[in-house]
Amino acid sequence: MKVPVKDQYLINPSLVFFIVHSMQIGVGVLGFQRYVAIYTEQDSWITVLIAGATIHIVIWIMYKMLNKEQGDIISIHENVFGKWIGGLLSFLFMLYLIALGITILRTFIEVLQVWMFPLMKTWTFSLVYLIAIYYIIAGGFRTVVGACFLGVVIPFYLIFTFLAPLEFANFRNLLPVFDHSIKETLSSFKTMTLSYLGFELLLVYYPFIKKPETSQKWAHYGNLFTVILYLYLMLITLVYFTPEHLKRTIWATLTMWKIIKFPFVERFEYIGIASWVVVILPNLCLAFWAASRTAKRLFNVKQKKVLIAILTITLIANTLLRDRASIDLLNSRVSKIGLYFIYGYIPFLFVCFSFINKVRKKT
Amino acid sequence: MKKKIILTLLVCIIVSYFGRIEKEIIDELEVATAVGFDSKGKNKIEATAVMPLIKPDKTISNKTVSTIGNLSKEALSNVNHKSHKPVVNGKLEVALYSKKVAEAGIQDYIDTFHRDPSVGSRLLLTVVDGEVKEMLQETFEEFDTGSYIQKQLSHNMERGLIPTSNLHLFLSSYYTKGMDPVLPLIELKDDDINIKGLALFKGTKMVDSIPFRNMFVFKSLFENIKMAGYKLKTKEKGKTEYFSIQGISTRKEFDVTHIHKAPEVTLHLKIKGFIREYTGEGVSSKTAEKAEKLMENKVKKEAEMLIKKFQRKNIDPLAFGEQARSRTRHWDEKRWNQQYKNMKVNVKVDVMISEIGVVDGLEL
Repeated sequence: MKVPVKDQYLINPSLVFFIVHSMQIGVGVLGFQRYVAIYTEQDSWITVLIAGATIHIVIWIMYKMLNKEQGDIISIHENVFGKWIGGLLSFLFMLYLIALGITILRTFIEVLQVWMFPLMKTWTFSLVYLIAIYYIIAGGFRTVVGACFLGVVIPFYLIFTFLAPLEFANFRNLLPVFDHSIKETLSSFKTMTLSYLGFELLLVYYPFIKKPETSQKWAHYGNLFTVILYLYLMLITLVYFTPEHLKRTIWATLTMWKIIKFPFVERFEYIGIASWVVVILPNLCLAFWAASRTAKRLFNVKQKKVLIAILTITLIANTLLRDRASIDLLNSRVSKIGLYFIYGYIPFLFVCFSFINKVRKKT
Repeated sequence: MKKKIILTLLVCIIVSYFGRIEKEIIDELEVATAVGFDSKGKNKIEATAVMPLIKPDKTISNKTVSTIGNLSKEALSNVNHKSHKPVVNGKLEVALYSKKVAEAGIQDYIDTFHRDPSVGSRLLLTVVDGEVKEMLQETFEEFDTGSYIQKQLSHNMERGLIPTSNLHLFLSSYYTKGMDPVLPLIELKDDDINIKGLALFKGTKMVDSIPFRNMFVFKSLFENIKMAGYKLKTKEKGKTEYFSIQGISTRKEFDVTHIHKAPEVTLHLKIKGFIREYTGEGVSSKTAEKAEKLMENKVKKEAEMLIKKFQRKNIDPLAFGEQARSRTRHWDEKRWNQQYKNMKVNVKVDVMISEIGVVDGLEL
C-alpha cells in the first residue's frame, strides 16, 4: 500500500544521514558512559561497538519491510494486523513517541537546573522551547530535516573539546582488555543500545524520501557515524576516569568539560550545555513531528491541531516531573520500551509481514 | 493574524515575568579564591574564605572571613552571614586543610567540592602544617592569597618537585584500586609560603609525610619529570664537594613479575640531565661519569628507603597495585593488599649526564 506524499515535500536520500544521526545523538550523550561502565568498566568500549553493529542489522530489517511496503509503520500495521488491531498498535507507537519527546526535554531541563540555573522554572523554559518546536514543525517535514542538518553541523566543533581531558589521561585504565564475562557484557549492552535509539523514526518518515530504496546506505552511514562518535567519547572517558570514579559520575561528558579552562571562560561546560540546546532541538522536532504525523494518518485530523495538543501534554507532563528520581524512572521506562521495540517488536513485525506477504502471493 | 500577535505578546510577558532567574552581577558578589579548614576542638571546624579586594587604585588586597561550624558545609555557608555581599565559589583556586583536619580525614570536604558543579576540576588541594587561618590572612604583593598560593603550587608542579595534583587527580587516585593519594604539604615560614614536603594519604586520611629533600626522588617515581634540579654532595679527599645537576628529565618503567604467586615489582628509572655547577676541580667528561655513578647510587638508595616506608605504612602512592591490576585478569585486591607489605621491589636507576655546560675542562 503506497502512502502518497506530494513531490514538493520529498527530501533528498542523502539527508537521511543527518536525520538518523541527529536523532541518535541527544541528552544521552551527556552521561551514557556511567550506565555502561557499571557493568563492564574498562571494557565498555567493546560494548559500544557490539551494540552499534546490532543496530545496523535492525536498520537492514526495517528497510527490507519498508521497501516492500513503500509506506510507513501505519500502513504496515494495517496490512499485517488489519484496521483495528493495527490501528491500536500504531496508537501505542504514537504514545511511545510522545513519551520519548517528554523524556528528552525534561532530562535536558534537569541538566540546566543542576548545572547552570538551580532556580529556573521548568515550565517557562519548556514553553519557550515548545513554541520554537511548533514553529519548526509547522513548516513541514523539510524544515524539520533542516533543523536536523543544523543540529549536526553547528555543534560539530564540540568534538575537539574532548581532546582537552587527555592532559590527565591514564591509559593504563584501559587494561586489562576482555576482563568481563558475557553476562556482564550483555547487561551493559542493554543499556548501551538506549543511546542508539532514535533511528526507528525511519518507520514514519520513509515515504518522505525521494527514491527511498537508495537512502538505505545513508541510514547505515548515519548510524556508523554515531558509533564512531560514541566510541571516541567512551575511550576518552575511560582514560580520564577511573572505573570507580566513573560509576559515581552522573554526567561524565559534562564533568570532563569542567577541566577545560580558558582565560575568558572559567569553565567550559556552560558553553557546552548552551550548545546542547541546538543538539536536542532536532530530537524533539522529529519525535513530535512523527507523533503528530502518526495521529494524522490514524484519525484523519489536521496535523497542526494534533501537534498543539501533543505539545500541551508535554508542557504539563514536564512540569509534573519534579525530582531526579522520577526523571530517572521515566528515562529507564521509556528506554526499556525502546529496547523491546527495536530488538523484539521490529523483528517480530518483520516475520509476520513476510509470512503474510507469502501467503497472499500463493492465493 | 491579530490573534497570533496577541498570543505572542502574552507569552512574552508571561515568560519574562515568571521566567526570571536571580541575577548574579559580578560586582555585587564576593568571589572566593581560597578556602581553608582548621580543626577547633571536638567536631568543630573553622572555615576561612579568602576574597580578593580590588581597590580603586587597582591594587589588590585580601579579605578573609572565618566562621566556626560543625560541618564543613555549615562552616562554609556561615561565611555568607559574615559577608556583606553573597559569597560564590565558582572561582575557587585552592583548598587548604590543616594537618589535624587532614589526619582526621577530608572525605566530607572533598565530597562537597565534588558534588558542587560550580567548583572546577582544577581546584588545587593542599595540606598546611600550622594554622590555615594565619596563612590565609597573610598578604602577598600583587595577588590575593588564593591566587598567590595557586600560582606558587602550579608552577612548582609544572617545573618543580611537587607531583601534579588537583581535585580530579585526587579523586582519581582515591577511586583507583591499588593507589593512594598524595598532596603537597606547605607551611608559613618568615612570611613566605614554604613547600615543606608531601602529605601521604590512606584513603582520605593523612597518615604520613615525606620531607622536601625526598621530593625529587618521589616525583621521579610518581611521574615523568620534564624539568627539575638536583643537588649531589660527595666527599673527595676529605673535602665536601657539590654537584648541581639541572634540566633533569626522567622516565619510569614498571615491570611486575610472578603476579599470581609472589608479585615482584621492578622499577626502571631513567634520568637525563646536565651539570651546571661543581665546587670541586674543573668539570670534564670524567666528572660527568663520576656524577652519574654518584647520582645512580643516591637515587637508588633513597627510592628504596621511600618504598620501604610506604610498605611499612601500608600505603601505595606510587600505584604499584594499579600496575599489577592492569596486568592481570580478575585481579584480587584483597590478596594484593596482604602481599603488598612484604613484596619485593627492585629499583634500577640509569643516569645520563648529557652536557656539561658551555665551557669545558680547565679551571679559570
